[in-house]
Amino acid sequence: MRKITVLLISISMLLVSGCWDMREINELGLVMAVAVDKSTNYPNNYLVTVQLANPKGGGATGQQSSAPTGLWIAEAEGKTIFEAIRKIAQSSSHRIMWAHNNIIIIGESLAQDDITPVVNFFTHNYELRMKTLVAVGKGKAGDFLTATVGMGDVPGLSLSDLFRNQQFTGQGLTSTMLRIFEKFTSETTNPIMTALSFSKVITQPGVLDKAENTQKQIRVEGAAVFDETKLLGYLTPEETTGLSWILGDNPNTVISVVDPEIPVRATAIEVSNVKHDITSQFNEGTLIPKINIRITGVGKLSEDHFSNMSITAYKTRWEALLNEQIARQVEQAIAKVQKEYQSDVLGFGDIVHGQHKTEWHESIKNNWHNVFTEAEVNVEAYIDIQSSALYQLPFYNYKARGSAYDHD
Amino acid sequence: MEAKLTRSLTENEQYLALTIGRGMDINYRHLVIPALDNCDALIVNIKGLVNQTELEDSVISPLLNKQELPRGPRLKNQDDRFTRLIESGISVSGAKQSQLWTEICDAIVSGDSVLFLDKWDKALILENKGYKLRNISEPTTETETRGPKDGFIEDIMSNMGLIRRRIKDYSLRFETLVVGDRSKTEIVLAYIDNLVNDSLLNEVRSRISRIKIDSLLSSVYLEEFIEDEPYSFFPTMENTERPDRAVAAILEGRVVILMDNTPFALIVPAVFWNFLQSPGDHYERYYIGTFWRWIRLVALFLALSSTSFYVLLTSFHQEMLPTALALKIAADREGVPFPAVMEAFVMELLFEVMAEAGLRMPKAIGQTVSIVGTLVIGQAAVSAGLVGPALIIAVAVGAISSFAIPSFSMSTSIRLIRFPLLFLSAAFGIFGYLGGIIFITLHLLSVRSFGTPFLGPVTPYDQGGQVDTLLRLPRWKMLTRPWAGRPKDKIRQKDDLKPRPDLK
Repeated sequence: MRKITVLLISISMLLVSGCWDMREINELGLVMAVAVDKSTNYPNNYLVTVQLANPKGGGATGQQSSAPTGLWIAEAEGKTIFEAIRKIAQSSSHRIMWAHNNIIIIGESLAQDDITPVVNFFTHNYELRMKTLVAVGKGKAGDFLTATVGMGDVPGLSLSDLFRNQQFTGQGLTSTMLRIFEKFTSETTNPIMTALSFSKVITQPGVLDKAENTQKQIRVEGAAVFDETKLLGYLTPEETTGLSWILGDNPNTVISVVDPEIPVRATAIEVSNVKHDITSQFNEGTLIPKINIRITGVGKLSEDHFSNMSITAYKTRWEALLNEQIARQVEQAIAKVQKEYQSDVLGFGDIVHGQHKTEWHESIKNNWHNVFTEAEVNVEAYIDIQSSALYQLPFYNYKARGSAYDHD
Repeated sequence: MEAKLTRSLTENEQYLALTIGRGMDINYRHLVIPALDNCDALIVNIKGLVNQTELEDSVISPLLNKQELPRGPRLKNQDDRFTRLIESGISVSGAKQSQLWTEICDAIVSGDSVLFLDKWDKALILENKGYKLRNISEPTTETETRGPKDGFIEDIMSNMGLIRRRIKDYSLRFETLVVGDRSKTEIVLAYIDNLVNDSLLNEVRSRISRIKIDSLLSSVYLEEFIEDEPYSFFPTMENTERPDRAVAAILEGRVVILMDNTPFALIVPAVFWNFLQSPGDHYERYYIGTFWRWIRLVALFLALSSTSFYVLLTSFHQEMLPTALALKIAADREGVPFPAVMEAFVMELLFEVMAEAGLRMPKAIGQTVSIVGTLVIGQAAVSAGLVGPALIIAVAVGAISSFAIPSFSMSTSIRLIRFPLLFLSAAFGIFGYLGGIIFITLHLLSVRSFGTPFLGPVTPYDQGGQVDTLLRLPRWKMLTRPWAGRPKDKIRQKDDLKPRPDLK
């Protein structure tokens, strides 16, 4: 009898609970991308723009399953981000769900003010993932949600693909909310994130400049450097590549090396398996650390005009050129953030802290900003060009060959 | 005091008529035997169960034609003369004298003929059973591509023969028990004497002998009386139609229970993994056998949870779907008027209805049902927008997977457990689903089959048992007999049988 009672109670629990918290997938508005701007009317308000996917063309309507997914873009203002989001819900037929959000775009003007509320809100919401990408949009962030990205149907989805592809362009800063959050919690390190801007593409065959024939297209353009919470300025794509040797996740970068003896033909070397090692040291008597960065990696010849299948003849020469070029690129980028922006985006502070605890606590801790700007940075690259990725003899440039190299 | 025969033929006939009646299938054949000074005689048998031709040739005509008894030692009395007649005149292979009515009546109803003679207080039981048997044919429920094609039939003697033909070991024993006051069903325990675990054998004997019932019609009757967990959803005994499977079990030291009038043998003890195994695993090379076992394990999981996963992912944990898939499913479900759980439950129910209809209906209308089933329920429901296509896939995957489980009894159990799991998933999302799975696992851990833990040898873990559980290792690796039967003699074969080129 007792068993039966227990059984009945357990079964009734199933029914009484009534599918608590249940929400059908087609009743949800899946957020693909969100943009946060400063309101133009009230400077303390936020303008939140969300891009929701509006899935269409399911089996219910027939066999049109190839129809593109529609989009619904809504914006609302609020004193807080949450208020603005709730206001969007007032006009949304679907319950807004954040779990599939791909990217958070922060408007330039808001970033110049303070990005803390954005980081705060998006890291504390349980529905959001820490792997969401974060970027600064040059101009109004909301505009990026209406532009197109490459050939993708859903801009939010395509944007995250766009970010992922940056590892091939050497601008692959891992600009996720998790990284930003890490840097926020660090005492010395400052955030750096990818910057987005627009370019134009031709949609109709015709003249590029004609407005009706072109379309706004999002592109990744360099990176945005922050001073703790405020946007300081941007890095150019070249400088971003310089930093991505250290900040990127397994970057795969193509470097064009120009041999000064044969300036007409450059050689492309694809560098992968990049690892870096940062050490700090104090010279006697000084309290300014010296930062040594050592970059290693594997190079492959991707485009050249001289080699003879075997790379042995040029290995040393090109490696020296390549290493020098990489070191220069990194040094220039570091010089910019160190001298111009004076922002420790590379996490040198944490490295010095970790490697020299006593010095750090004695003198540097409260004075890191000044120490950082004065620190001497030394970059060395050691790329091992292992092989040629080419499977045919290059068409020799005979003139150049004759003067510079002796082929057998 | 058991009733015995009298010396009067008339009285004996009257007693018999009272006991077994005078139905039209019961043959009372009166004879006069010249060799015994025209003594009256009576042969009783059941027409449908005896071989009439043999009876005529070997019993009736010799008795009628023999004019006098053969010479021999002096016959002291009448009984000696009867014995002399029987020994000289009847050419049936099995013949036995009896005085007991129970023995005689049992013989008649089970298909023997009985010869009564006037002034003799005994009767002669003549074994000439000759009823119609089904031919030994390919098993319908367990087919294999490369295995033997014979299957058990309803006749227990033939089944014992099928086993005996495969094991020519002197120690093979067939132990008979009779259960059922009215059906008097013969139950045979088949085992190898010096292999089987004695406590297991005693347990099987004692469980069967405590059954007091009027009749046993199918091996499931027996199974329900002797199983370990009467309330469990899971079967704890294997059943098989294949002699090779039964023989393999006997050789593992397990006990095979044959029952008259059923082509299914029971095998005890059985562990969970036995239900995912098939003789075919051993009839292909070991890579393939192992691969199949894992496929079945995956199928088991899919059969159990494909629709539960659909419901919990689309109704609770949309964040667990990849974005593109989430969009696709959302698009498919656009306009579906029911919640996902309702959708899933109805489709699952319809699948079960179709399976049931397909099982029992006459073959001639099978086509109609499958067309109606696939077209109306599958395609029309989707194009009418009543269910999403993703759900149809989930239901179909589950359905097909359930048929990949080789044991029909395990497959139906899984199909049944699917429903509570579906409701748990719909009520509590993945927590409900996991709760259900944990409950099932705990239950399985508590089950024993005739003393063997049901999830062994995986848990409790036994190294030696792994050679033939989830893996099917090459034959030369299977040094020990499988763990489940706990055999007396564990070693199956010589070590170092791996073939290599330098072998002499």
